[in-house]
Amino acid sequence: MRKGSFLNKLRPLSIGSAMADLALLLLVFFMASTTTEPPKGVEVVLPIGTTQGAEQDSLYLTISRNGDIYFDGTRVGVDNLHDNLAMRQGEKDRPVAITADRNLDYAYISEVLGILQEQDFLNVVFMSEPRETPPSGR
Amino acid sequence: MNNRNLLVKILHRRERRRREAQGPAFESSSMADMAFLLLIFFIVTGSFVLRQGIFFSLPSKTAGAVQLNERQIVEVYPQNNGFRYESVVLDRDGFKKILIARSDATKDSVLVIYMGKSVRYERLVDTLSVARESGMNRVSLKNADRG
Repeated sequence: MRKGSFLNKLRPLSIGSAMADLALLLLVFFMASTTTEPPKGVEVVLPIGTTQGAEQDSLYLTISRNGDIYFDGTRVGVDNLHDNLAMRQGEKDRPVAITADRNLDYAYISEVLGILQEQDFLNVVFMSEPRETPPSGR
Repeated sequence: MNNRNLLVKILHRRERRRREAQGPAFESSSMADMAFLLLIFFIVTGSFVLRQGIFFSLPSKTAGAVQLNERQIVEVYPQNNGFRYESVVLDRDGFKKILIARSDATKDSVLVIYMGKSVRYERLVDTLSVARESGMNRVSLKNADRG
């Protein structure tokens, strides 16, 4: 390479800032696209059903096998559930995702649905595991 | 002694000039480190699995009564061992066939689900699933014990 050529004038580039840009871009993508585990409060065995994707922006109501109720991850009684929902009247349009144990008696679900209806939370999602084999017929 | 002072003065001046020549600098490698650290955290803790469920709209407290023809109404009493329809306990496929036939015969059919208090919750989810699979979109939920 002869002295004073164009290649001599080029300076070596530092790729540190480009790497930071790339990392931040990926970080923003992951922050936007990943979902975090909803506050369940207790582990339950979900029923199986023909499901569709539930919205992320839900209120979470979990009912354990023995009928304990957890609202957004915190254990509440039936009366407390009334109060909790009454305090969140501004969020009435948000769906309430009911995560209940598959072997739970319907009596508990009925009670909770009654409370939801009373407090005007009318959009309900019964959380369930998707059926593995697609049903035949229609 | 004078020589030493002179030497210190020269070194100070040289250092000052070196600093001035460099100008303000931004160290971006630490930022990259931090970003990658957070990135790995989100990759590990995040989940792409969508939550799934069956949507159901409850009637409003102030909703009025809806008048229906007798032919439009399909009543089912889910049991822990099947679906009781017109006093016969059917399995899932049998019930689904009936729902499809009723849905095809009468438009805007309404499935009325009478749930007993001691019936398991999974039977409700299954009944709603069968209704959805058979194209029956209007569903009413009642307590069997209350009537």
